[in-house]
Amino acid sequence: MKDQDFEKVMAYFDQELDPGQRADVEKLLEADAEARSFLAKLRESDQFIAGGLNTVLDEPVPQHLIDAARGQPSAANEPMSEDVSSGGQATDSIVVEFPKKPAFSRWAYATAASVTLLVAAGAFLMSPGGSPTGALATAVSNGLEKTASGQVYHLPDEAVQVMPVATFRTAGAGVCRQFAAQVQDQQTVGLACRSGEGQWQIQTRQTLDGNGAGQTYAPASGGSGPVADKLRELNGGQPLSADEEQALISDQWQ
Amino acid sequence: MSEDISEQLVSLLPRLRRFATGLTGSLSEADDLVQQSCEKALRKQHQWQPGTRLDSWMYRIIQTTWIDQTRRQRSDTVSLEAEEIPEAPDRRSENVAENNNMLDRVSQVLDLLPEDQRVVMLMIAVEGRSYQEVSDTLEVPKGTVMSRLYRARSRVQAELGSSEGSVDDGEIAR
Repeated sequence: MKDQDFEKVMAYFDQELDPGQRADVEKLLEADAEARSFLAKLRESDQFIAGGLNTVLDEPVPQHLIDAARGQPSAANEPMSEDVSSGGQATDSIVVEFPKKPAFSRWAYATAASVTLLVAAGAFLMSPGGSPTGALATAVSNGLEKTASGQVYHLPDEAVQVMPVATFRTAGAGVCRQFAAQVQDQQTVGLACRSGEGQWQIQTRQTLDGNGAGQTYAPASGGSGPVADKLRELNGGQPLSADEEQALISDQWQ
Repeated sequence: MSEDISEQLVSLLPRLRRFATGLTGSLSEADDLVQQSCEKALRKQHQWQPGTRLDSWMYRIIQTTWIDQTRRQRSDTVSLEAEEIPEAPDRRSENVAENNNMLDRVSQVLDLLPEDQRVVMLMIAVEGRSYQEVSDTLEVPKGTVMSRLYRARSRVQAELGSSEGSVDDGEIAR
């Protein structure tokens, strides 16, 4: 067979030919044993592949996939749902609902398991009132890049934890995220915006007294304090929904 | 519209799992991939044009999601357009001895194919798409689709021949 004959036989097998071309190939198949063997091998290879994979069709579809297809994340796969319900919101909502009450208890819960780590960790150095450096800046930049609001990120070897609180689009600095961070027993809240180079740069931050932490977990938009002030300055809007935020995370904030 | 696409997605799930299993080599990985792809599809459903095939759109999303994953997992990058792509390590080599059932055998053979050939093979040989549909879905020329399909089938056939201990007449060679 010529090279183009292999191509024609394959197209014949795949039912890609018009009637005239089919007749030509059938003549070839009648006359040429190699063409017939090639056709048989095409059938054999496809039946092998399709036959094995078709066994998947007999497998029951897991419920979590059905839920995902319907846009209803199942509880087992949606850690936000517990937080949402604790704030009095419908559990089937896929929109991030920020706690109506101070959410410090959630933060405390998240950090309770690592209290030993926090105690054992070395001192985190932050110049008083100066720009954040070192581990906090790294944790903020890494944590805000891939962590959904309400979930906690911590550096593998550092006693620094960061929890994004809300995500905003701003006219002045693109996408920005309100965050809370904990370094040893010191809590910091702030706002960081993503630069064109893919870094999260802290725009403003405030170190809190321990007994005043709760008030900082409400969405900053429309509120008071340095984060809310900065958001207004940047013309930020309302917090994005969980879907919008997740889409941005998945698309690497593009 | 959201409800329509959701219910269509649900009805497509068995086939999407089959396609993803062919890509990933395991049902558990396929389920993770399909879940991510469904979530992505729902987020981007405004990009799907009603009247066009939702399944083809989903195959494309699954493929691109899978490629993104595998690229992140590898230190090197692969070109989708390259006809000669270095073969990935056999992900299941440790389990070859135990993998005697049909699906595992198929997965082992598919794993030998470069990703671009594997996708074309799955879409045509398993999902029954036409060359033109695959060309449109993958946004590659029809001739490229045929070339990849031919190479994929040749490789599969060679593996079947070698696993059976014989290569009889009419060996595919070009």
